[in-house]
Amino acid sequence: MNDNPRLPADIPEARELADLQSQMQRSTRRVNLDGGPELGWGTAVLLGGLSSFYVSALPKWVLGSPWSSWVGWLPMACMCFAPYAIPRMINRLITWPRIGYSSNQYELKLGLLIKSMFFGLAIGVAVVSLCEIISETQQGISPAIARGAGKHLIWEGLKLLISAPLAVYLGRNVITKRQLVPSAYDAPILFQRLRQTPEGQSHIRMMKFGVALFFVAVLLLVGGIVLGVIWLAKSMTLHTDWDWHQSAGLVILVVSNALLYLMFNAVAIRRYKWKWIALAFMLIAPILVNARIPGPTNQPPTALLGIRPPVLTAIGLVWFLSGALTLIAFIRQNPLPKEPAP
Amino acid sequence: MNEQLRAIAELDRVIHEPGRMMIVALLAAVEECDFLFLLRETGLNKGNLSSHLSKLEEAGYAQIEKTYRGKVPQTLLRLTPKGRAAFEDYRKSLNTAFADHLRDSIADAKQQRSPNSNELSR
Repeated sequence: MNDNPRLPADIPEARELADLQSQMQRSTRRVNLDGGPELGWGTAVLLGGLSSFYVSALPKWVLGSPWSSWVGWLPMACMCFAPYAIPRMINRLITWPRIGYSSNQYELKLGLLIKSMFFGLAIGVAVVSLCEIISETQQGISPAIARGAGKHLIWEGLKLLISAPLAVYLGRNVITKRQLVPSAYDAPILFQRLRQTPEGQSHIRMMKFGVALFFVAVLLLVGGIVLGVIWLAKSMTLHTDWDWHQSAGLVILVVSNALLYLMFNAVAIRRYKWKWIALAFMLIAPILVNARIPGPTNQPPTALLGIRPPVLTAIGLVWFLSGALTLIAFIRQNPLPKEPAP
Repeated sequence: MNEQLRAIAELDRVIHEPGRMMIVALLAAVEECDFLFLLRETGLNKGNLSSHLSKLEEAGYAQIEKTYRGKVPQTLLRLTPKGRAAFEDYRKSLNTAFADHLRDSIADAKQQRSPNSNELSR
């Protein structure tokens, strides 16, 4: 079809539709233009990494008392809201006065964020309670009661009774079909009365398979490279408790963060080429930090997949610095209008 | 060809003007926005933009709300349900006209050379 000179550039409607599409997509080009989402995510990861140091620095009586132990969880609570609150604050104070305000249908709303958090909490409580009940009653209910676990069982049962329906209720609100960015093109109209030949269908199947294969290959390749670098950095490791379980966690964290960084910056990276360097840092810094800095000795609440708090701190720092540089560049490129818009 | 001409003739004249089409397309993609956003994204000057917005408001397609952000005056703009429906009709008309052209072009291409992977079923 591409070698046909009549398609599609010389069809006036095609040009008009292309213009319409370009216009409708303009608001999406603002994604992470000011570095707000990066700063929000970076702050969250930084808080996650620093919370262990913070807990280590707190006096023991603070964590020991049931009235003040919540202080230890403060950074984690802030961590949950940072990805939402920080971009919003930057929008209000910096972005909107400079380039105008717009509200999109596909933006994350506070209500949905809170519902999602409670949904996650309800699922977590339900699963843990169910596991507790199963483990306590493996040999029957009577032996468990005889062991004195009756109260514990009733408590876990109550938690399960409350959390499971709550998870179902919230899940119906939270898990909805994501609203797509509006488009000028209407596939059912454009391709009505057109059908594909078997050759065309097999061609598209091959294309889809090829694209899927490409992404899997890229993931495996990047994962393999990161694992190789970790192996090479093993000789530099200062701490002795090194294991492959921890390395696998590190690979997952580093690769997923790098992909997330690329997704966040899909638009901005074309404008700010230095973000490629930040991406390289995102891949290398956590590995080096993991090898050289042991981190606090207490059991950190953020030690997911055996990831050390300094590693999370390093990743958060790269996100944060990248976001801060983007914000500075945005402010320099978009001065405040001299006279306010009517 | 008659179908294509009819589809073009049916296009909403309030929207089918380059400046207003830009404004409506932008408004259709967002829930609401302010004057500065439209000013920057359309590249129109303040006078032109105001005039187009007035026409859209007269047609009942756009809602203009004067408000304040802190102490700074702000003009909020959004499409009305009638405006969204009109834009949807406009978009569908354009798609229909394009689809008719597309089918004609494919039919012509088929006549000129051996069929490709897509074929027309009439």
